Amino acid sequence: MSSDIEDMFERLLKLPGAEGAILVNGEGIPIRTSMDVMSSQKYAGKMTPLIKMARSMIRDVEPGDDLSYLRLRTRRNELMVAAENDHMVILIQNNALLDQARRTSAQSNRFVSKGK
Amino acid sequence: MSAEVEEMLKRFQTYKNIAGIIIVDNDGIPIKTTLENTQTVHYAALMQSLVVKARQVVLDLDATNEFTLLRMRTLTHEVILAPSDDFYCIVIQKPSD
Repeated sequence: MSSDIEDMFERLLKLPGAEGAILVNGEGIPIRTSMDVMSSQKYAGKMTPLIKMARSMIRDVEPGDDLSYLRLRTRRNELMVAAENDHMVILIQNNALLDQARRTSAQSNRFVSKGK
Repeated sequence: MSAEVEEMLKRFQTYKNIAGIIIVDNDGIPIKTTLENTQTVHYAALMQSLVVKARQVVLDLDATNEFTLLRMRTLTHEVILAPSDDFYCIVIQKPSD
């Protein structure tokens, strides 16, 4: 089981612009991180209430629906937070690289459909 | 200000995947919407506190940074919160993938 988490973690860090990834357990404690302890705890502490709030809102506004993940974009980077059961994964991605990757994939999609 | 709002609304409504757009002012009152009343009020009331919270989280993490967009992907659709100076937008869309 833990090798699955390791794999997922490694995959996350390979995503475009990935600056850091944190895996947080049900108590809000970072159990795996690519960043320093202080930052990891800070991020874990801040994102936990936010995702709890977002999740309860989605459930409230659409009964039967549930939050899959959340992307918080700022001027500098994007924070992706995904929660499953108790655990939570936080990924920090640099905007420039992320947007570039998105543009490239959008362009290639267009190219493919044109070719048809 | 309302011309700016109308403009944005019109532009977004042309996209097929948009299920609804709500524009809420800084007091949490929906000023424009494409959804019906009870749903609009419900969304506006809930999203208000989320926008405030998101803004706070970003500032706490980095005082020089600024919250520009919040996307929530749910099982069935996607809710986007776009803040601005005098108002913010809630967009509900069905993801095309």
